[in-house]
Amino acid sequence: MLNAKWASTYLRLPRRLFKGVDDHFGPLAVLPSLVVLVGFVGYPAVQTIILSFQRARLGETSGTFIGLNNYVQAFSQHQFWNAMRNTFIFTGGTLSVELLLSIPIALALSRRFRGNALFRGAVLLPYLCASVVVATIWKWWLNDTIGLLNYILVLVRVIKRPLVWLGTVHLTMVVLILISAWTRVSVFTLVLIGGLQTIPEEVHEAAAVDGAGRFQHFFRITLPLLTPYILLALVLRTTFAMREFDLIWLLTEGGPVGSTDLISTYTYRTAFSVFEAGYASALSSILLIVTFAVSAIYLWLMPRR
Amino acid sequence: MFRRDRVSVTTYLQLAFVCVLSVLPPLWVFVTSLKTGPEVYTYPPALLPRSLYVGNYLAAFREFNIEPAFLNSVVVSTTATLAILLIGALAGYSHSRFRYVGNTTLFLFALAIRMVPPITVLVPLHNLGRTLGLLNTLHWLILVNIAFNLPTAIWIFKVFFDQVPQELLDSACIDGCGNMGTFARIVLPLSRGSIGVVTILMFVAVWNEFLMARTFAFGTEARLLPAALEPLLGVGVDIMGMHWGHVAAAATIIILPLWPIAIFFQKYLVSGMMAGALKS
Repeated sequence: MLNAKWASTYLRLPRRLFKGVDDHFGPLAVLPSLVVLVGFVGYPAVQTIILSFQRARLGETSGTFIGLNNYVQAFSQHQFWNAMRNTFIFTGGTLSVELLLSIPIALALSRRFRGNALFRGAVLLPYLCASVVVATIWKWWLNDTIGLLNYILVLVRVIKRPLVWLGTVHLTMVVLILISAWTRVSVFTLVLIGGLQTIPEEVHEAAAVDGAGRFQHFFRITLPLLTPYILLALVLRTTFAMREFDLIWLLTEGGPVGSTDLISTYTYRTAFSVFEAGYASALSSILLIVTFAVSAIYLWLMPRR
Repeated sequence: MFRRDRVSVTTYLQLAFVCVLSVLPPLWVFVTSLKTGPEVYTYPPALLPRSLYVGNYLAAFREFNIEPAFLNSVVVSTTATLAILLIGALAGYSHSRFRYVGNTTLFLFALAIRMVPPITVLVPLHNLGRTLGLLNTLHWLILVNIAFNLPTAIWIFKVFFDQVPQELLDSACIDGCGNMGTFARIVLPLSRGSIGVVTILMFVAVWNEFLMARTFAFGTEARLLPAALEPLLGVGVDIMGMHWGHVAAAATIIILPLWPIAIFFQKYLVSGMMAGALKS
């Protein structure tokens, strides 16, 4: 008797389990993501902040507590301020280029015409290229001896003699900004196309009826209505431009003479070439704080709905 | 129903110019990969290869250990993408449709995680991987790639699931469908687009990921394609002293698999990237 009762209980177990899971599906469904996010990003981020107050070599999970010394070291070092300044120049530069290029492209691509999808696909191509591929492409194009760019520019007399694009102090930063913009201008463009499609046709017609010229139309109608989307694209891209590592690492490693060294490359060298995990963690914490501060500013600028 | 706009020739020309700027640089590398050794280094360069030479591809596979790296990349990208789809869809559904304490907070937490640059947690992740004995394995690369791409997936899924009318879910509930059944039979089929979007975005992101691939794998056993290409391109590497045709072939091999995926999911790529970015 007892056995039969137990057997039936066990046989019903899968069903009851299913029912139990189904009743609490909401909180249970979020659980796996929570475990992954906390375990592999949240918890390590806290560890970074803890490590930033310690002197530790790479591989040591805990070092000696030295208070704010790592931060003092950073703020007193020329390399740190140089990297910080370069990070802001790079971010500001690439975002400006992307914004200025994407507005006309988005205006043209938001119209419906034959071949539109083809154009969109072509604009997206650089987005699909891995950073190593982007580095390959541009290293080949910008080579000072046999690069095609120098050849073309000399041919059409824009420059007199071949330039060393990736090894000239001020020029190289500009080149990197342009390459970065080349890979990501499509992200900006797509967000802006989406924004343009939310503007009702009637608004444009009303403006035309009222006799607005092309410039007036753009600056008084289109641009103001597009502003929230521009801000959104800026949020998305700023945080990613500030952490840019791959292109710099593969094309210049911060050189020539530190003129393209960003916080990311400086941190990476400190952690994985010099193995100073504590100091690298302080640099990381500063990048974290700056990233969140910039995002907060954007959120504050964003119009409330 | 479908209206076309009048587009001036100038606009067409401007767009064509933009397309040339986007397509020509990668195309040039592809053309170079089909040239023979001496042809690669002729100056001024020839626009087209004299014949379609596949020797560079064979050499790239033989010399640079591309083959194991390629297989590793396929394994990592596929596994990570599938895991992100599963975990992300569940979390997105939970954030979209359920009321429980902390739901909004957890969603904001996921968005905040998205802001964390991988480089800032590289040292703790390195330590954690060593403690767990997973450093220099594909498992570790899969795990960290899942973690860093998950927030984007959750966000996109939530945006898509929010658009499913509540009435449909209510009627499914009345008909006796449980939460899981509603999710699998109503919500997912109605927002198939979200799966397309997340698949393409995540696969591309993991396939192209470089920083963690180079940091967490030191041997060939866990080397992924982008990391395998790095030694051929380093800052000190003089491209006159090496065989650039081979490098061009290796680079082409990295982009190539993305093409069928991108074309197959093209409409998701464009429409989804906009939707995911906009309807937050």
